[in-house]
Amino acid sequence: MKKNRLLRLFSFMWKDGGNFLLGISYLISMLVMASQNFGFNYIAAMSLKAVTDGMINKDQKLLIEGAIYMAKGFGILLITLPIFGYIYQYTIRKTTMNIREKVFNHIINLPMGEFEKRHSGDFLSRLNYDINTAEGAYSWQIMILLTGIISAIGGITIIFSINRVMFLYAIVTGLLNVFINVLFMKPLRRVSEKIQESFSRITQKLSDTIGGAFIIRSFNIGKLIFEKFVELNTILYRLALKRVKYNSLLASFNYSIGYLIYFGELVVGGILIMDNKMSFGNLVATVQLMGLMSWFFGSIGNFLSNLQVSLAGAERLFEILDLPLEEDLYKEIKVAERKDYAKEDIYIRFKNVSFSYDGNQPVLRNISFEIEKNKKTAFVGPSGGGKSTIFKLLLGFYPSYDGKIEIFGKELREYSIEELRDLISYVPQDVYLFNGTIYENVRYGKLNATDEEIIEALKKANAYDFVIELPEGLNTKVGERGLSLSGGQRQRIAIARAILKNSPILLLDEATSSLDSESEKLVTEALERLTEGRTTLIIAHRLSTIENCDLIYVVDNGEIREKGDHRTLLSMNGKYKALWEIQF
Amino acid sequence: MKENKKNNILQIVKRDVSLLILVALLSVIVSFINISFINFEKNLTDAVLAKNRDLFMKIFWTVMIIVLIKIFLEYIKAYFYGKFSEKTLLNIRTEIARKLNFASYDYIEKNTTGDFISRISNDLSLIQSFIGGSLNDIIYQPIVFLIGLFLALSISWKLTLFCFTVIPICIIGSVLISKPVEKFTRAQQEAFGDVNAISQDVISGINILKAFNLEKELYSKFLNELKKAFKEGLKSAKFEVLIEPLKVVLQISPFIFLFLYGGRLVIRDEITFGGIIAFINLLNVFLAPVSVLPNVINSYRKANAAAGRIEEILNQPDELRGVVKDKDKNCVFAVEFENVSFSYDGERDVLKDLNFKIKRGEKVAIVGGSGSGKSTIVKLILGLYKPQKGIIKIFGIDINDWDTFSLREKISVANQDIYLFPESVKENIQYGKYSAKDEEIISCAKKAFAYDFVMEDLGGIDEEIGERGVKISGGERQRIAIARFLLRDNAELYILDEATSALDTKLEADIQKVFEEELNGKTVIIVAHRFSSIKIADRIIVLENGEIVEEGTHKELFEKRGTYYHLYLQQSNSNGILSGEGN
Repeated sequence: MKKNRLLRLFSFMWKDGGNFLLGISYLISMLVMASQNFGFNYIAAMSLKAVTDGMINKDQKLLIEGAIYMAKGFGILLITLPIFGYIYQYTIRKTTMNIREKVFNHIINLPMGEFEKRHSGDFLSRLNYDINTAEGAYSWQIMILLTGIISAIGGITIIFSINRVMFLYAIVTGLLNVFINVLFMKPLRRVSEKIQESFSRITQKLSDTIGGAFIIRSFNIGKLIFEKFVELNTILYRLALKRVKYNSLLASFNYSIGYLIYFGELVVGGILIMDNKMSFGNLVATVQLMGLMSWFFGSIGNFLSNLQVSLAGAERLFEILDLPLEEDLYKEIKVAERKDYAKEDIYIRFKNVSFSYDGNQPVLRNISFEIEKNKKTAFVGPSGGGKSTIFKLLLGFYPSYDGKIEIFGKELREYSIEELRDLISYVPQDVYLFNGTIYENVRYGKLNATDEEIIEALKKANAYDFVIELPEGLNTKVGERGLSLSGGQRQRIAIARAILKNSPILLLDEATSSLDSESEKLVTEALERLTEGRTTLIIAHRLSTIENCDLIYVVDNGEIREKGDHRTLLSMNGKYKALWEIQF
Repeated sequence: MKENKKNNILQIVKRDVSLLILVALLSVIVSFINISFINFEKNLTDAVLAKNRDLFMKIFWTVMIIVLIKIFLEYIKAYFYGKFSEKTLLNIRTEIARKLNFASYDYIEKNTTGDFISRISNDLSLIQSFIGGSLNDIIYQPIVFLIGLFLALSISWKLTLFCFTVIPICIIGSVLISKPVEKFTRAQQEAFGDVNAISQDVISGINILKAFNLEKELYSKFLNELKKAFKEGLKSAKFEVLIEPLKVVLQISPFIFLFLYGGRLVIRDEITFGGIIAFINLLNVFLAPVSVLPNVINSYRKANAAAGRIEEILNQPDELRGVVKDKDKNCVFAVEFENVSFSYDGERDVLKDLNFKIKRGEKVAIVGGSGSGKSTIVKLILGLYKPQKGIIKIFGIDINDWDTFSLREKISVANQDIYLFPESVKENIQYGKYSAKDEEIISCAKKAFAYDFVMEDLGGIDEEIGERGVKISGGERQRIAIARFLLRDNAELYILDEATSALDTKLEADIQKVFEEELNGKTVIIVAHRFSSIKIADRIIVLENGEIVEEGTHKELFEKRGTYYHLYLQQSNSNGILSGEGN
């Protein structure tokens, strides 16, 4: 399982955006980078040996030779490393870019249901945080692991060639080091996890005291809440002290044993030297090489747990990448020829449509209705009654309904997503403007629109006048990172976008928030122009738009309760009338 | 004042200074041992070269004994240090929590965003990383440096002098070459920020993206930014791989020079070879502060700023409270406002010269558009804010004289702020009256029409809100808040501030009936935007821009055809009734 994740992560190097060259470049440069540590240490050890023997034998020539050897060796490394270092960096960054691109592309092509299931922050954190975490696996963890292995094997081989006793000593102490680390790592990690958990509860409690400030004060529960906090805080403290104990034990042993191992080298080496079995220079070289190994053995556990964190990050990416795409939901599409919609009289037909988001609670129950060409139809009813679900189904967000939805006489699911959405313009309740200019935001209605068309659309939407007054006119930046527009202005931009799209069907989800009368007038006028000569479906919250609708459906609890125009419905003395009157 | 600003971290650290002093003492002993090891190694080396086995063994055993002592010392040092840092954090967290619970409402309301808490926890972790790590370096490094310097001088003053000429040169060199890195890092981060901005943008506007077939368009926009970030990243990488080798050279060159120069001294018999071995270790000791210093400074700066912000929170005054603990039994009024003016920012008056009285047992509605000052009146009655001008009396006692705790014991409030604690539903309701029995809680939940959905959706009143992935709607939250409101049955003043605004009309009407029964004979203030929720009021006060414009019963006000009439009509219109009731 773990292997699979690792393999899948690395597979981005040679497929899915990567290629053979990228993969091989990574492999080679990584091997070079992983060997550099050993290279440096080998050169250092050899020159130290020469220098030491030079000093002890009072041989100045040997001393200088050693220094020159070091300078030469390092010189070569210092020239080759930047080259391979750059290749290495390039391959890593390229791979990360590929992954990020893949994940982003997958996210935006997910079915709408996925977005409603999750918090938007969830996707963002995967795109940002998890990719960075996963990158750790190929950017340094594997490389460090390899560095350790190369250094250990290389070091041990050379020590073996220098002296068998020292070799044995190195093996035994190296294993001892690993053993001690493993011994402490597990309980330490367990405590750390508990601390993390406890800490997030503490933060939650703190934010409660802010969020619930009014309740806390008006109901005099400050003391209670504070006591609960202190209780949690004490638990956290106890856990933290437990970790401190482990850490202190680990630290004191680690330092001291680390030192003992080093000192032992001197002692064992010293005895060998006194027995004339080894030169002092060889001892110095051995010490140098062993420093490298004990570093590796000491930190291998750490790297492995880091690798696990990275793979967990990768896992969260794969979760996204394994979600079926929106177009997969339309798999059974038979490519039927496109109908000429101008000839149809019934634009939209719902036949016994039932739908449930979660498969349990029905939101629409056996709903049937027809929308005729160029008619304006309003849907009213309590929120949660199913009005907006009708819109979502029409937009093809949820193709898993029962019954039939026909658009221009053809079943909705037989359209391709793109084709379907080309037929429909949508003005949402909360107008979202993308970061970018006003021009861009309007252009999203029709990507190949000319400047004239865009200006025309803005004019029709009563937006042109205020837009040209803005500091940079059409090129004024809007959205979260730009200028903030008033509610009415945003609506008019959204209307302009819909006008530009010029599709036969219009879905209009009225804004609930009321506007001031001036901008209300402008919006209403713009809407009139937009709906003119278009088959329009409106989710109505206000009276103004409803009165001149051709037909009104009262939707409640997933069913159509009443239908008729405003006057008829009022005179029916039924749900419609009650809906308004109950407010008094 | 300035002194204070500079030593924020000192304020934090000094809470448990005795532990810290103990740690410092232990540090001195440990440093001494560590440096003595260097000296033992020197002597051991020289003993080896002199082939003096007796001396060799003596040194060996001495070191073994000292190591045993050191294991113990290191342990208690680390333990006390850890305890010190955890205890300090424990205390700060407690103090913050206390402050947030008891600080004036004013301060909290200014900081209601989630951002505030994430800033606090961020600050806490900055302080933690400083006192958990860098502080240790600040204590230990200077001590070991000094002791090391003594040893170095005792071995060879020439080599010592040599070390302290080479080290600064290398430091200055490495600082100089890494300077431009910052510039590259910043450019890279900015480019990356743009990438993130697009992802965020796209996910926020996903329904538009889908409805308008913008997948490809926005994907290419994203790709564009991604490529820009990639290029910035490469620029930075190019620079880094070039300076990395230079850094290595600067790091190792002191050692090379040490060997060359020291080697000559050995050959001239000015020092022993063991002395060189000692100097290699000492050089590491001398270089250590250099490598930790940037981290220490960085961590100190961050922690100091964080400590400043934490201190700022801790220095907030608690809510002011008076001493009067009970009502004036002879006073017939529950609430009296006399010429009350109030402003949040000291500039714009939210309430202007307000005068009204509410008798005990009366039910009064306060209506008006948003921003008219309705909710401010509620906050003043609860003593959350104090009026800048005029007198407010609750049950005959001036609001400034009331002990706020005793005052609030007499009040129950349900307001539009529908915050629920992420605890069980039971606990949330129980906060109305903490001594309440389960039966009382359940009965109130039933009265507030909260019981059924709690049992159905959450699976019981002991279930925690927010768990099992069940989302609670605004209307459901309000019903739980109303249950809490009703549970406080020993209150003498009941305040409903837009308490039913998120309920549908049918449910609102049902709950109105419950209020009528449950609050019979009690003093009730209803603040509302929706006229449907003020049915039970005996009297209506109409507020506009912080002033009372009309007052009277529904009938009187309606016939008067003034502000109330217009507000009423406006609402009826927008709700679809074309003919007013007055006809």
